[in-house]
Amino acid sequence: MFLAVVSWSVFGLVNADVPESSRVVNVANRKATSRRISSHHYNLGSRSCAASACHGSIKADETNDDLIRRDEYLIWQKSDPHETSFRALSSKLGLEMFHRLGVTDVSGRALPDKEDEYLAQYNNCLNCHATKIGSRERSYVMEGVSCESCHGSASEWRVTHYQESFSELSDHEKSSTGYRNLQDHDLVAQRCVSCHIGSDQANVNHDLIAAGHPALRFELTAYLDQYPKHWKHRGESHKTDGAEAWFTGQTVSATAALQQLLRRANTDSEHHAVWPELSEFNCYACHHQLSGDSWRMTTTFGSSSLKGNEWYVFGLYTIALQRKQTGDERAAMFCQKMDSLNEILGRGWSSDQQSLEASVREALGALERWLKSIDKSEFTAEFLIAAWSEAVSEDHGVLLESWDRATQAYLALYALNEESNDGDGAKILDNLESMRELLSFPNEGSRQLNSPRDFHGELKSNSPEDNSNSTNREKIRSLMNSILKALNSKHEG
Amino acid sequence: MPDTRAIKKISERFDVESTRYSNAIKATRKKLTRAAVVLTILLVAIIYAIEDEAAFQSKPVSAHHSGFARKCELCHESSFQLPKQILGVESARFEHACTECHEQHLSDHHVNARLKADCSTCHKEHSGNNSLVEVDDNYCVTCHLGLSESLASLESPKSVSFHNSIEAIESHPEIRIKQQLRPDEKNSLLESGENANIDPNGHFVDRTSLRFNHKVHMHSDGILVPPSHPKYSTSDNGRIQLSCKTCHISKSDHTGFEPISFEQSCVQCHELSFSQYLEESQKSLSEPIPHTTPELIRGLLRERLTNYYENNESNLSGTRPSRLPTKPQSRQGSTNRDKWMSEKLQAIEAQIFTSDQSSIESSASSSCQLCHKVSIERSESQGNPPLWSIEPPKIPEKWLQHARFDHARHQLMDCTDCHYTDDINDGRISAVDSTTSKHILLPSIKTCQECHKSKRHKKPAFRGRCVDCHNYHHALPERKDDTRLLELIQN
Repeated sequence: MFLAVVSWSVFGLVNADVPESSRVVNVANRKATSRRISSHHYNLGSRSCAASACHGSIKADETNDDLIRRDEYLIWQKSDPHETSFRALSSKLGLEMFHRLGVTDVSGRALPDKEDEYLAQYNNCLNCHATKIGSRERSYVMEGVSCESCHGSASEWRVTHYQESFSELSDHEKSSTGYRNLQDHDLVAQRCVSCHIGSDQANVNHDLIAAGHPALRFELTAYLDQYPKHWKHRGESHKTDGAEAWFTGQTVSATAALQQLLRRANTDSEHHAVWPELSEFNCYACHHQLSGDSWRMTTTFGSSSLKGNEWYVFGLYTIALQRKQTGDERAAMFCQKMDSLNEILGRGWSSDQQSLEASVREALGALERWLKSIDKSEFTAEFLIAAWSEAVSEDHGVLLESWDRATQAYLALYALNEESNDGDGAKILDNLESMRELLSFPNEGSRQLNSPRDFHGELKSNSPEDNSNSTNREKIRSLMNSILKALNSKHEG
Repeated sequence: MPDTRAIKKISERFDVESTRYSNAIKATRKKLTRAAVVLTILLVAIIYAIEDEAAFQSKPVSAHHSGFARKCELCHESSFQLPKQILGVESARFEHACTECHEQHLSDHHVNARLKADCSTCHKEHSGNNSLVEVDDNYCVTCHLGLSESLASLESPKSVSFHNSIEAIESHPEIRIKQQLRPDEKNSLLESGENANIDPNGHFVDRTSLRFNHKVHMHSDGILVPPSHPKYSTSDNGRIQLSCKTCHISKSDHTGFEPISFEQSCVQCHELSFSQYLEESQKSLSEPIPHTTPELIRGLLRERLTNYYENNESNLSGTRPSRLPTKPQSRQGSTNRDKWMSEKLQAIEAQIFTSDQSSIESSASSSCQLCHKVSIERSESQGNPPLWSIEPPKIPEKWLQHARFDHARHQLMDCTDCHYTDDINDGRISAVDSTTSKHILLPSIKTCQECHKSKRHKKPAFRGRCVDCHNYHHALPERKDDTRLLELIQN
């Protein structure tokens, strides 16, 4: 007891006399601001979740449906790619990236006159790639995206969340402790896109991509499907496929993407952004092969060339087009605003930033209004499949105008198929696999090339009945047709 | 009445007394004669007693037969054999006796060699301690001076261009493989046809399917070696100078050179590695492979891939494969192991056998195709990827089929003094400058004739007898089984 008192007071005295600036503080955090550490919630770090009686057991519980697995920490550590995200900053690619950004020398040491810039850059990385542990006054970074990055800072609910009284709290009460309810696809998607698409503090722009960062192409169902699951499947809210998951993913992604675009086009005096931000355009507008039968030639040559980055918005746009036909006014407005936005983006860098910003604002507003007005339960699998089928009914070529569109269609169909493996389902999966082959980036030895080299070939006609298979794009089209047909018959019958 | 005037009394005609006294000379002569006869008989008896029939030899038998010197009956089978032989009696030939131990035969040289001869025609015994094998040139020249006459009687001459007047080494024709063929000879069957092809100019070129460039390896600036090379530490800035001896290692009994061994000479630079083609996680697969047949390489790769798969199965199949086409496909489950293995096998083998990229670690490329002729089966068999195959190089051990060459006796010479080839355009190219393995790097007979002269040559020179290079009995090995010989020794 005496020793405890003595050591405690000594500890307090030692730190009380030491000036703030030289306390144990990670240098990278000196100027860090992080929204993950709010004024009273802070992260405890994954180690505090990892007791073997809690989430760090070697042996999982697989028998009781209403209990947790108990080996969540180990799954995260062994298989989850998020675990490696902090180490990635000092990996070979990470060091090369800093060097290419011009802030460090080859070995990773900051250049003499670039130290501030380096810190800023590094903090930008940390916002997504790490979990800041500890309170604001004394925080440090040592692990990648860990438990609290997604489940919310645990300082207030760590000792209460396993008690019965906690489960009786309302959602609002739970979230006020900092706990994030991940049973809701919406909340899950929002947390994912805050890094995987961006936010006001997380910005992966073309500079970073040019330095070596992988391009951001998030799609909720695809990512969730691949994610090593440290939870037990408990009903609808845990589904990673299906209409609800897909649609939620699309809505949240589109919103986040437009918000990020708005930030990048901002002309306001305080946060004025420099335009053009190249990652808001279609990658393959510039990064393309020079060979003859390129798909770009048919869509971009001579006409409004640089399309905007359609990856995040196209899926929702297609659905909205369908809703327009059934009389949904807000959907129609959204489509119209997107059209004019695309038209402005299509002008390339010569677009005027003011008008671009205005257009983005309008599109974002239209999207938000539409989403507020809809009832998600109307967007069933049948409806969505019908929507995709309608999209190609008049013009087969529209889904194949760019690789992004074709891949979004592929991912949508994959999700809507829900991986059923019976009879027809197996055939659909086969077709999806073949489609994937044609859309994929080639893997040559140890290098993964960054372009869809097999997505080429002329579409001879745009009529739905045409089933020729001579070029790759035509093969993709016929695969898509057969998948849609099969899905339609599955849901009708 | 007889004339009594001249009749002297017998006693007055000669001195009767003289018979009383003997003639010293005559007496001595008589004694000597008798003594000589006796002595002779005695001597012969003594020598015969000591040496048996060897006493009657003109000169000792040759060194190799000295063990049987006392056993004349081994060779001289019938009595009066020699006179009979001179008279041409067939049964008096010496062949039968020789073939008791020796397997050689007259027809060893050429199936139609017709000589009224037997072994002793060329191999003269009782000539002192010489070697019977060193037959004088004259015996060869008897046929080879006018060969076309004796060959004219053959049914189908094999279009051999034997010179018709070989008298001595000075008139020896050019070595077959260095000759330029006449147009009518181009399609003839040649004894060296296994090792050489004929190029459009009528010259012989090496037929081996192995590619090798001497010039690159023997460059005067040296060649770059990787740090793993045993001589790297003493090298000059990473370069070492190769010499002929580096790869052409002579046999321990100095009868020639060991066949070139990849493991001894080549692997230090041409390490059969392919690690630069693998992803980081697969480096464990990439140890260098041995220099062996494609079937064994495939087996080895299968083993490594299986080990890798089993050790990394969780990585390969732990996280689900992504359906995003931007990510690499990695399939899970053992049902797909065979497919994964088959794909990987195909990819890795393609790199091993045919890649032409240099490896990062060594300065020399290391695919099979660099040196060998590589081909692949047309189709799969039993679900395996098509098997690669390599044409056997067929490097001949011996180029000169009818001559012997002793490298040990020529070791004071420089390799390139003899190992050169003559090109129409470029003149003499020595082995060090040869850029292709098509060159047959053998010397012309003129190089030999520079030092080897016949006995007619006035100035001192090296011997150039027929037997120095050639062997009449070239079709057979030299020793029969030793049973008879052992019997003879033991009795």
